[in-house]
Amino acid sequence: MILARVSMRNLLRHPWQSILSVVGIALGVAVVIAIDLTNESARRAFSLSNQMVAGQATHHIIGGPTGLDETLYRDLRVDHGIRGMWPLVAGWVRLPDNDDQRFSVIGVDPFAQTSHSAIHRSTRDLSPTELLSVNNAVLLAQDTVRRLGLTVPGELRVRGAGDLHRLRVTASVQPDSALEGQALRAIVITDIATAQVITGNIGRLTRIDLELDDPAAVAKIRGLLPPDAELASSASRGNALQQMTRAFEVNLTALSLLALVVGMFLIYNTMTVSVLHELFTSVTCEALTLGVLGVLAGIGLGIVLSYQLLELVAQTINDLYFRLDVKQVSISALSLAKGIALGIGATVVAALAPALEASRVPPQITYTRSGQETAARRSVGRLARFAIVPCVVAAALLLLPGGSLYAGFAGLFFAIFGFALLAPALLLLIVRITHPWLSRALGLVGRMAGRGVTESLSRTRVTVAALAIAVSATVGVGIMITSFRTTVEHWLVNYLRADLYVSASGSTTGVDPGLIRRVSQLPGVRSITTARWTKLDGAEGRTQLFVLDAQSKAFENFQFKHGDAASAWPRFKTGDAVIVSEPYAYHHRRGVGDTVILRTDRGAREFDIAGVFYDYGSDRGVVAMHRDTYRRHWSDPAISSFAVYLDANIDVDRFAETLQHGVLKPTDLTLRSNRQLRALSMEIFDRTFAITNVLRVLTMVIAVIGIFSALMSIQLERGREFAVLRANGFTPRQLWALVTTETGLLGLAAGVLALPLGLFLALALIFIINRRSFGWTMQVWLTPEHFVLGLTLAVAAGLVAGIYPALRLARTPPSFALRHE
Amino acid sequence: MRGWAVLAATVLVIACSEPGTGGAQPSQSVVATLSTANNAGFRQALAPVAFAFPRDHGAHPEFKTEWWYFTGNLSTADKRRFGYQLTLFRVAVTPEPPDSASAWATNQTFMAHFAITDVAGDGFYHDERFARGALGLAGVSATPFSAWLEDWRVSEDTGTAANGCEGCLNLRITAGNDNAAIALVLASMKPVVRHGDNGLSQKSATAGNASYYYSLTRLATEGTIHVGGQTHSVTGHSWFDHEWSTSALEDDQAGWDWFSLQLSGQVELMLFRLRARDAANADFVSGSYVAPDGRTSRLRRGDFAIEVLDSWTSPATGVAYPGRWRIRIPQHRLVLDVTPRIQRQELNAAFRYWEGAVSATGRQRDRPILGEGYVELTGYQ
Repeated sequence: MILARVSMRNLLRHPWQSILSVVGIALGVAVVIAIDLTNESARRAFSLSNQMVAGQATHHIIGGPTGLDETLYRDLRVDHGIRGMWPLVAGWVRLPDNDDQRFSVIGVDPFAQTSHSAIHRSTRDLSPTELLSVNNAVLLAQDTVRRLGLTVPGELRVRGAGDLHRLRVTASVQPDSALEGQALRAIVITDIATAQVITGNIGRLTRIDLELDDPAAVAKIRGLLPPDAELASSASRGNALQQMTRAFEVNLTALSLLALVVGMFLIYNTMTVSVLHELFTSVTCEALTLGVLGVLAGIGLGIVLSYQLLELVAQTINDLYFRLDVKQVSISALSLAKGIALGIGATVVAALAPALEASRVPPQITYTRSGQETAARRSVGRLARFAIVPCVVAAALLLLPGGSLYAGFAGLFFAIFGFALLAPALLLLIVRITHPWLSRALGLVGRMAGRGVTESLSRTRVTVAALAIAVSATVGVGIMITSFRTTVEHWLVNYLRADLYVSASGSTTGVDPGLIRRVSQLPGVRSITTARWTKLDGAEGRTQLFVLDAQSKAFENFQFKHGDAASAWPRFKTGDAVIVSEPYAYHHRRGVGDTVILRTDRGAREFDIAGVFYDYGSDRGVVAMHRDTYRRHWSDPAISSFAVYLDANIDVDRFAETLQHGVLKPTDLTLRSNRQLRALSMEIFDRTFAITNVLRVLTMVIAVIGIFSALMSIQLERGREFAVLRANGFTPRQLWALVTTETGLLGLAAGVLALPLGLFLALALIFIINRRSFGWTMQVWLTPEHFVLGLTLAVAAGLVAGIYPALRLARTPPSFALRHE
Repeated sequence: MRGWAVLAATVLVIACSEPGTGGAQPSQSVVATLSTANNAGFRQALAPVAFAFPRDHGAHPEFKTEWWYFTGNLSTADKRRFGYQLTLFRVAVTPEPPDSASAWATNQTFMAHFAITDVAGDGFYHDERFARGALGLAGVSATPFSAWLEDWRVSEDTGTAANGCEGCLNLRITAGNDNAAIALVLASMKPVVRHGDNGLSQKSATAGNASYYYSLTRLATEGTIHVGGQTHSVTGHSWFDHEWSTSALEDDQAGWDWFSLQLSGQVELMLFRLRARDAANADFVSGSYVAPDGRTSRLRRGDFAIEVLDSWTSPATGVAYPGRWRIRIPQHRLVLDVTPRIQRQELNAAFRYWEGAVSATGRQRDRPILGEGYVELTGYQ
């Protein structure tokens, strides 16, 4: 009790420092909680939207690129008496009267419903009389009806499968929960017959969901399936899809933890100040008080922040992985608990060293600054020697082959820890190097500034380390993004060689082959290649298939990592061989000479890998296949896009204009020039890293707060010292110069230290973290701007932090300061 | 006849139940489909028509409602008795099929009810299913005759020659679930019986409130019944009803009692009584007496009397049903006491009614007579 009161009194004695510490911890915890909530919300939204349709389904029967033949369902039910299963047709449409919004279509058979899923439950509100008797009867969520300004009953116009359909909204669904409401917000629920028509899936089912409880039933159904169908368990399928975003989530989490680590330095710093006056228990008490306050504030802030971040994360997931409608943060107790535990834990760890020091060192030494500083200087060598331990651990985690992504991040954190231990020694070194320069430039003030830094080493070492780590993170992440971006830009230039690209990606239908023929006959068209993007679902996940009808010339657009275009081409064209992208090869540990197994219309089949190509379009990887091969094994004539190569003398823009207003006019296909497509790709790239940049800035903010707090406390503590200087004839101006030089010097030191660490982080991110996350090879592009920015940031932070104490000290009459001591 | 009773009960249940509480049960709305009231555009049963077989064993989709009803009393060699019921209901939701390219699109919906009564075990098993009449999930065909909903199926046994009588059929029936199932072979012993006015069965005084209704009143039956984890070889007799109509109900009719009885001496009896809601109004009654040679005499108001001798209250639903009857048909000098084989034959599914195997004892022309059959009771609260 007494200790608690003492702690409180101490905290109140340094109100600014305490407040800044709380803010630092709060920000750190907020970032961690926000990221966790965001990841969790995305995950929940994903599983909820899955569950909404699948209900209690334990298994799914999935087909090839065009789904399943609907007669399979009939055969299973009628000929084999299989029950506990329900068919599903899924697709999507656009709403021409509502900004062309994209809505999912879920078609179910209400007569088959034994499912408890929300979608199936919702159809209970709609009488099958209406489902069957009212042409194009559909259900929407109540909120959706309101949002779209519809009435019930009322009409909803949609564009699907190339046609305009008038749907009849015959009832609205009241969701059971806010989350369910969110999952339903862009979904049209309808009868399977209507769904087949409006999504262009006549004769096909997207999948059949089943509830199977014993292995015998699973085996029985497996035995009944045709070769193009496969039985997959919901769990494995859901996991496979969630795996896609795992690396992305881990990266975000790691960045958020970095923010917390920087926040830890703040606590450490505040506690070092406290140690001057206190004992172990009271130091711990104080730290805990700050920690709890910070964590409490961090929870609130984290929840607010998570709403901002969710949009960015959802955007990235939609850009890169799968369609996910998530607008609602689901506040999970577990996420909050994790944040609280990490916040308090970080506080305790950060306070441990100062607290132990307080308990080890005899009180009279603890109580004096000089004693503390002596101890700090003595420990410089010891800490530097000890730094070898985390550095070795880091090297092992980062460099040992076959290490996981988690090991990679752990390695990064060990490296940062090692660096923090080395920081004091490096700081002394920098001061020693700069000392002659400063004294030459600034004379007495310069000499004194250098001495000031070394004499308050117990404070400055932590400050410098924290600032350096934050700046290095900015530098490192910046270099990584620039390198990545430049690599992708260069790759795109090589990869996108055609003049024009026509794609059905925004369209509800594929590309009509007749249209391609017409385009190919236009004057000036040299050649055309077509592409088909499709996903093959299998029990072990989803394979992105890129089917390409290319001449050998276009094949050369691929940049090979292993194998080469010349030798791969004949096998690719006629020999049933495929080429795989680098991430695919990495994730599946395959290379040239290996095979991939794909489920064709006639069952699983092995395809030889003839090459591994660079590709930055998908982080899970792509299997590329010639159209001839595809058509031999799959009966799917659809085409997703085609590329037009023009004769050299043709004006591309004018040709595009003619095409757009001619052949393409009646279609909803999208025409993009090479340049536009490249710009769009880079736009998506930048969007992907938007969240990374937000985290980077947040970490920097925490660091600046830390620096501010630390430098201010150092300077304010030295009130007596400065008063003596004033009394000895130092002018306020000289004092001002001294203080800002000192803090500027600290900033500079941090900046200088941050550059090699930043470079190290960048290399680790590029060569280890990115590879382990996505399997990409990146060229390192070092541009001066990140280093200059880092250095400027650090020095500026130092200078700004010096202004307030300098002004205050300059104004305080020396007699007051002396008396106050 | 009895189909209407089921559908009438459906309407009542829907009016009284909360939607969406069915758990794994099919939704109330599916049931509602089968009892929707809009009759515009459908054909009605206004005058007698000449039935032709096998054509008329098939579906009549221009009428709103239709059913194929199989019941039977069976026993093992050591006289262990069973009853079974398998019914396929068809309801059209619109007069015309929709204009759609999808094979799932249809205006025809189907419901099937299945029940087994295990007399010795005092057991009653029932199940129901729903499907649309599309994609081959459920349907009826006339030649060869086949009526099915998923793997519950009645189909003509084309491998055996049927009795040459009019409309006679040899059939195979398979239906059931893991707990109770039947696999039976049926052979017609007597020609079709046209009820009412040459097959036009009036249900109230209003013109058009009628159905087309015929029966195969006696089909020799053998096969297996699977209940309680055991499979029993059984033989006995079945009864097949086929009825189609568009409207048959009056607002003041509360429910229905229906009897199909196979008596010793190759006599069969079909009787129904539509109970008036208001005691002031008279019940609407009708029946058919089928002589051993197949000749049918129509029974009208005043030709027979049904006296309720006992009642039984369902412990599951609290509904009180009649429990035993005495039927008198003076013109045939027939008095019969009809007793349920077991009382517990209430189908408490998406909607509830009592349909069960019964035995009959009595006297005709002062000679003892025995019988068995099925009784259906609906609209009891």
